[in-house]
Amino acid sequence: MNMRIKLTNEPIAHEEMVENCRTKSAGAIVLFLGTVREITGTEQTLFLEYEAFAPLAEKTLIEIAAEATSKWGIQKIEIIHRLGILHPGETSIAVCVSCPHRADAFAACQQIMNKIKEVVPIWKKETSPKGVSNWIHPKN
Amino acid sequence: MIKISVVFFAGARDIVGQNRLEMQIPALTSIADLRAILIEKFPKLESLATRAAFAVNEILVLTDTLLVENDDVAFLPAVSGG
Repeated sequence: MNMRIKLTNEPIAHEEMVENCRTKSAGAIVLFLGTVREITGTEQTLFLEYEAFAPLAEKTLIEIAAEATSKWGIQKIEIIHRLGILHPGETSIAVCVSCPHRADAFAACQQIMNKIKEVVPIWKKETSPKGVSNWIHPKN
Repeated sequence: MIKISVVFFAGARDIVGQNRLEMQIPALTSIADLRAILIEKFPKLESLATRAAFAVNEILVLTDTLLVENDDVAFLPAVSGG
């Protein structure tokens, strides 16, 4: 399968992902980057720290990618999630897909991101400029 | 009694105070029972535990799953990746 899934402590080289997804049979490549936001509501973030239950996170990402591949006719797909400490503006996740048509590529990226946020065992801790740290565990 | 191991992540690890607990539990304990045992041991874990998912030996399981000797349980609080 034309799939690459990775968890990494290194910065994500998204340009390389785009080139890896380029194929002659695809008419669209969509790249989504999730980046660290400095301000959420009235709260300021100094940095985020991501951790994963890596073996299950990788397995779950593969399942999500495989499901999206068959649903949207994806030609090539790469998903890379960054772990460790990230500062505002840095890329925490990159999803890149190529499909014959753009509607499918956009829809695939959207669905993949929704699924990742719902089920992949990865967590982030926010630290404010005052040094207060909180793990984020959504209530629903 | 059977011996199992439970690994905690993120906010759950902070509450428990350690990454991994070795536990002795009665035979035929389910994941739901284990959750109740953990809440009794660590009352502050309750709100995370009610919304947590559980994996056994790196596979997600339902709460009626029965644990056996040497199972490696992962307590997975609500996720926030992406």
